[in-house]
Amino acid sequence: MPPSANANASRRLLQELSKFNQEDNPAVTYLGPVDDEDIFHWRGGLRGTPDSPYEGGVWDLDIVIPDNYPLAPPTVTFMTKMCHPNVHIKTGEICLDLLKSAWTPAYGISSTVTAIQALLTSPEPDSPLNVDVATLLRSGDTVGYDSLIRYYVWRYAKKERNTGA
Amino acid sequence: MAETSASVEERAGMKTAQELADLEKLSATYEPDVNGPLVGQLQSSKILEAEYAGADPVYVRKTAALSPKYSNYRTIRGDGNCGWRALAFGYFELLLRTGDEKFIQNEMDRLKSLCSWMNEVGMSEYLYEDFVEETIELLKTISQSPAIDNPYDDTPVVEAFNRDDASNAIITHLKLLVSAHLRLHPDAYEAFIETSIEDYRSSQIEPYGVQIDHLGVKALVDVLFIPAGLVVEISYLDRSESDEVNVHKFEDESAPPKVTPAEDEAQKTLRMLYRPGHYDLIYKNGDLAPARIPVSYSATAAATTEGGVRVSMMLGTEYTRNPFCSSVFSSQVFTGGGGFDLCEEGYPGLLRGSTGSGLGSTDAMNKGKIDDAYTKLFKHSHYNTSHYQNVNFQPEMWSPQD
Repeated sequence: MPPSANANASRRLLQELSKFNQEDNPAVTYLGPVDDEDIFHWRGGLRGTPDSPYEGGVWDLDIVIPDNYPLAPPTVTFMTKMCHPNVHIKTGEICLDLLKSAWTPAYGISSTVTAIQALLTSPEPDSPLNVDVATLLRSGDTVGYDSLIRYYVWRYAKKERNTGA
Repeated sequence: MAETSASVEERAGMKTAQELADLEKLSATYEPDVNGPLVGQLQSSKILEAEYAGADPVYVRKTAALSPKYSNYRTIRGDGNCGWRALAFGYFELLLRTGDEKFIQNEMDRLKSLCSWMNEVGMSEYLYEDFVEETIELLKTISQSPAIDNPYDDTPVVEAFNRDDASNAIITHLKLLVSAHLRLHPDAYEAFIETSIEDYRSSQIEPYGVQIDHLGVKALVDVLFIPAGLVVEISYLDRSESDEVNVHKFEDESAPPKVTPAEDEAQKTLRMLYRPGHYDLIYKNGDLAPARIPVSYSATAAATTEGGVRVSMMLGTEYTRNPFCSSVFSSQVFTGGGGFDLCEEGYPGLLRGSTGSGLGSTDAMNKGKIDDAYTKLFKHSHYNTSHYQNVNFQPEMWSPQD
């Protein structure tokens, strides 16, 4: 990758960062680079969707941004344990087409976190990374599904974090 | 013994598993051949003929029939964006070729105003402005001196399109613009999509590296080319049974039949060559700088460059010439009289950018004459691959009544 692509990506990320600091994103508790040295590695806090079993939880996300961003998507993983059909319970890997084939340069980091929040309440149980919880959903056991999620929220994601970076 | 064979088997099994894993890795990380420049230089379309010389007879026939009609060819890198890149490049090349500063500035204003579409569908300006900026920047470059003084010199556009950042930014801008257009004007396209406009634009239009499909071409032509009065034409080089490439023209269907002279249309037509999965650009003889050959050099040039395409002239500038000119010039210069007259009037700009007179109306008239002359002369010369005296002649291509 030529250095110019890298410079473009940095410029764009700085722009996104200043924009994020001006405008509130209700899905995000905090968002920004891990340290000032590396603009390509961010962390963020994802807020659980209101009126869903995820309400009240906050999950830390690790966001690694490629050199050719925004042509290629950032790699986002859950650092806090997340119980969701499309999230790997151990690695925190997320199965979301936006983060893979359907990535578009019209998305930014902040709107990507919003999209992940939207995934919480619209899971795709047919392409599961967490088979156990996907099976509950597919068999129609919404009571079991909801309470399993609530348990994980209470156990791992309950403390509201304010700001990070 | 048994242990040995078992362990051999085991090893073989492991190897297979390893091989499978390797293969899987290969296929997962497979990328099409991405050698070559993003946008190549003009070449002779004879190259295509050579490329397919040993191929299926259908291809041999079609490529042989192609080169007399389309003199030149330009490769686009096969990185999954070739269709978008070919169209974007061609748009800038056509604009520059008009040599009309005002016209290019109008296009710049139009594209700036179209950003409102992207706002309307909820794209954030701070996320798309970098891409738009590159488009506007290149339009500015080609609308100004020195680029505008040499409208047939494609260097500024080729250079910009070979810079990764500019090239990709421009196609991203166009992708987002088309996406917005699709969402704002679904009626014209919805019927052709199996899923929804929303799915289509997010999976087929917006992502970088996803090949453009027919509907995508149509939408881009509707947004970019038709409002500017430009035409896009695709020649399909495939195995379908016919003797020539099939040509599909994208035009403004709502407009009344055009009365523009063919000459004018040639100057405003972008020609793409489609081979399954890949787009390149091709050019007809009349598309390229017909008025760029200095009279005093024509005879020498003709004598030394039989059938050649790119000629480094003594003037230190590179000219893209089509091979047919040389035969015309040699015959006309040598027969004297009328030939000289034709050259003199038809080619006022002796040196690139020296007079800046460009193509006036008289020139256009004369060019018509020349086109006629060299078509006939060419057809009956051994440069024509369908002529029985041509070195590459194939009997089944010869139809003397033509």
